[in-house]
Amino acid sequence: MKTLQDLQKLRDEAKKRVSMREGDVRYRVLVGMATCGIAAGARPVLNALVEACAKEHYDCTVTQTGCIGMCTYEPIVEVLDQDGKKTTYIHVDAKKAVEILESHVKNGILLEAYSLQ
Amino acid sequence: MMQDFAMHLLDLAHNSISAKATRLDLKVEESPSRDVFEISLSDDGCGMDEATVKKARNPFYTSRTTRRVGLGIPLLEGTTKQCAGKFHLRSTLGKGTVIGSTLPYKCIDRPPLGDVGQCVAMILQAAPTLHLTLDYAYESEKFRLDSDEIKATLGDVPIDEPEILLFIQSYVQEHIKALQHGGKSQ
Repeated sequence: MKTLQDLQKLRDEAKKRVSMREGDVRYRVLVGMATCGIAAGARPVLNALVEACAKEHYDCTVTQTGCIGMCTYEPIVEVLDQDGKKTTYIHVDAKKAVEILESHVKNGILLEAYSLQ
Repeated sequence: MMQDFAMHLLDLAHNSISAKATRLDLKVEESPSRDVFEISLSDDGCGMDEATVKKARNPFYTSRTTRRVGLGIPLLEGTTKQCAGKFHLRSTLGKGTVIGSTLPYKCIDRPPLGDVGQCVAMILQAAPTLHLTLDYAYESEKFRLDSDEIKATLGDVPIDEPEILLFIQSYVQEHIKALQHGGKSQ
């Protein structure tokens, strides 16, 4: 079972990585986490994004946002680039979330099949 | 419909975050022997006056402007009612809010507790500056998580680093599971 001592070890590794990272990130990834999002399954989506970022260190931040106002399309993931251009992905699940990171955030290729037209 | 109580906790925690809470205490208690299942959230956010507390239980009331319904609180109240449990919501303007439910543990309509580890990690991801505590009890066995304790260990490493969040998630999951299984074998 994990203890807080394990956290100390993890801290030293994370510290190196945080200091290595510099300047702005290329993308901001937002997950709608209001009641509608959570009920539709946004938590596993957010969790998959956080997990993938811990593993692959994508050039992005993952943050939560409230209700976007399109509850029927939840879970919604928005990807914002540095110019403020926004792509809205709808009906996202954990698997699609990782695909979005791989394609859009890593390679800069929009996934039109999942995005709101 | 929320599939489990961890989702209710996560959802209602967002209310506390919106209410600018600096402190949020989560409590979860499971006791099959006493037939008690209890969750509660207590925050030091902006609170509500009496009239707003009443309105908050109405699904057609919300303080937001993006939509005209507010389902978080009514959903928990609904789940509680379907199990003949007790729902409570107390709030003082300027002081904070306490919300929670007590249900019969063995009620067949009671949704499962769900993944509290993921819930805690996602709350900290949404509000890294929040002082969050979790008190979990299974029968007489207890587990406590305090975000300040974690932050003290972390030093200047932010708590919302993905690796740290995943650690917190499995740390909570493992401890809760151990207590639940310990209880079952007795």
